Amino acid sequence: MTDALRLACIAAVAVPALAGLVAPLLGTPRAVQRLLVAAGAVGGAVGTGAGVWAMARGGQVVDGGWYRVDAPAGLFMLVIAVVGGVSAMLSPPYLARSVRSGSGALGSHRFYACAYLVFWAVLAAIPCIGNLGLAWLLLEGTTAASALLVAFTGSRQALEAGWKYLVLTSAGLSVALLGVVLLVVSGATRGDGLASLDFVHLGEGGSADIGLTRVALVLILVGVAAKAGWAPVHNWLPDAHSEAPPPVSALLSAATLPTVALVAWRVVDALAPVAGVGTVRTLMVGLGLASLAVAVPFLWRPMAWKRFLAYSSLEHMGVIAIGIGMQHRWAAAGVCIHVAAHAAAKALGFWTATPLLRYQPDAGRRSPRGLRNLDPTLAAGVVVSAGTLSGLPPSPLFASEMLILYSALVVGLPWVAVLMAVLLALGFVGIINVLVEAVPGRSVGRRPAVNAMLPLRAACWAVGAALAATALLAFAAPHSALATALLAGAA
Amino acid sequence: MSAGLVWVCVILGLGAVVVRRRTAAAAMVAAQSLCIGLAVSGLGSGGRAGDPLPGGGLILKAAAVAALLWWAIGRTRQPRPIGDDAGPAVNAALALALAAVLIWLVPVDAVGAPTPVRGGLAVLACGLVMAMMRRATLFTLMGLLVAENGVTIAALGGRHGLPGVVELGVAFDLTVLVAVAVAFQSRILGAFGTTDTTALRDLRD
Repeated sequence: MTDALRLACIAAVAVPALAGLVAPLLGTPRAVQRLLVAAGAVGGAVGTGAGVWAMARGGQVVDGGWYRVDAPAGLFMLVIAVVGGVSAMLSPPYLARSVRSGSGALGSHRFYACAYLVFWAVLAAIPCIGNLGLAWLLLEGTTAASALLVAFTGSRQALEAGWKYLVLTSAGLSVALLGVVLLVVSGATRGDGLASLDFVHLGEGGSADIGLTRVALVLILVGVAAKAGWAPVHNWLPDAHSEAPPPVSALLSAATLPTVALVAWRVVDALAPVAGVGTVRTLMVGLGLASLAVAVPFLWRPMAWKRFLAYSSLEHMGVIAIGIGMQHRWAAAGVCIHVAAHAAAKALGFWTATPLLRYQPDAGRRSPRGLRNLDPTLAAGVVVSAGTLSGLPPSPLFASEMLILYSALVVGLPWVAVLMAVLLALGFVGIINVLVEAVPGRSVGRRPAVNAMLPLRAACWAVGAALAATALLAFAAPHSALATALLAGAA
Repeated sequence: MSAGLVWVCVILGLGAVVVRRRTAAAAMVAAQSLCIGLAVSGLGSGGRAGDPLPGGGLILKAAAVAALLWWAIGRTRQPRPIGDDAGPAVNAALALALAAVLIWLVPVDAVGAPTPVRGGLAVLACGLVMAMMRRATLFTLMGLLVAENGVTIAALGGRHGLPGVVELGVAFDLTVLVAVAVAFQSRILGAFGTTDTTALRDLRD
């Protein structure tokens, strides 16, 4: 049973990786598009199966030292597989109308498919990694592939966004690596060689220098924050998410950011006993509140749809950071629900962007308008996505935010609960304001053909069903069997 | 890593912060990477047992990075060198000040070999100042390389350093990252007509 799950996890990484290696060998753009659809379907199905299987095993952990498959890993594998797979399948409509500057159609297709599939494969491996050093290597690995994708169009804005993303996240990860080095130097890890950086051995060194361990923790979190998009080191995020191709933005925002947060979560859980729960709380709550405070004013401003979604990501990463920092089982359940629901709603928002930018090109530089009259499916995608992201009840994000708020009260941080509630309420009003401006009104742009909207319509139904299921789970949490299993694995 | 070699790396880092020409900075970064590779492989260890595999990997990385930098310099020649907002003296002072702050903030007295850790922090400070203060994109890239070199030097202060697999992985990741960044250089020059980072300021809210 354990071997089969291990094989399923390997397959979830191998399918997109192999497809990425095959992509440059294909002879026509149509063949590359078919490869993307096939890899998306197969890789997504395999990853979903592995993720569900890992979660269904509850508290049973496959622990191989440097790899670790537990229920939280299963949840993140599921998120990456679904977002990565569907985004791959929705890439051909984008590629059919976009050519990378300096390349022909075939070159553009090959480049995109190779970089996208490799990026997805590297990302899919991260949840199963049980070692901080290897997790760092994979995080850095995602940067190289995804920076090329951010700059895919070759426009001035895309190049600027890609360069900023490359430099800022690499600088952040250098700082995180210094933290890892100081952790080793401080004696906070147990054992020698690679095993000394296994998450289960962090904080187990008998002769840990507490001061140095705290410095190491701060550096790791600040460095990882630059990759996770937590304020105040988030500057690349709005630019990269707004300039990348929409399917790439979906993978970056809905899957990559939370996966980076998972690495931070594992580090925080491992080092909290040594560095102190108070230190951990201060750091994570600080990052979370800063992210919320920076994001909320931008949710009030009219701006391009993808840029708006990017600031929404900053807001939701802030909620996740606060949840991680609470170090409480209800907050942990809230974070898991938040990751799943945010992924579904955010991915749908970015998937909607491909047809939106085609039929209302102005939405690339300003807020969308008159969507109900332009096309009902487009309007539905925007409403479901933004409505869920706003935390409108009975959205699962409402339940997850309530769980995190309540845990802040339980652990004796009422001021955090109050600040978070005020900022979330302001964000809610801002998002509803954007919806009110985007959906009704006179239609602007070219009406799409019915057939052109079929993939988005299918995605809307699927995401709607997934959100409903998550909401049912969320309102049963934190006492549901799955929540208990997730928490047992996290511990 | 011997104290002498640590000092050589710090001086090379500081030199890369202040020199005007990209070729001179690239030579210093390459020399610094080579020194670290030699130290990790045991040739300049000053007592620590060498580790030939990661050491060899780091030497290979130094060679690959040097080649990529030279190639990038050749591909992005511009009529006039890109100026900086601050002069070399200001940049050097900033690097020294940041190094002092980092060394003061990180308590390494209890560590077995504090000299490489302090030296690594100083090199890291040079890299960060270089990435933040120099305007040419290639200097930003070299700043990141110097910062990573600083981290590798700091790792040599531990009883065992970073695990060999991780050191090799970091070297590989960094080489790939430099290759990607070099690819960006020519595209930025093509789109903007310069590799001055001040031109990359279109995206603002």
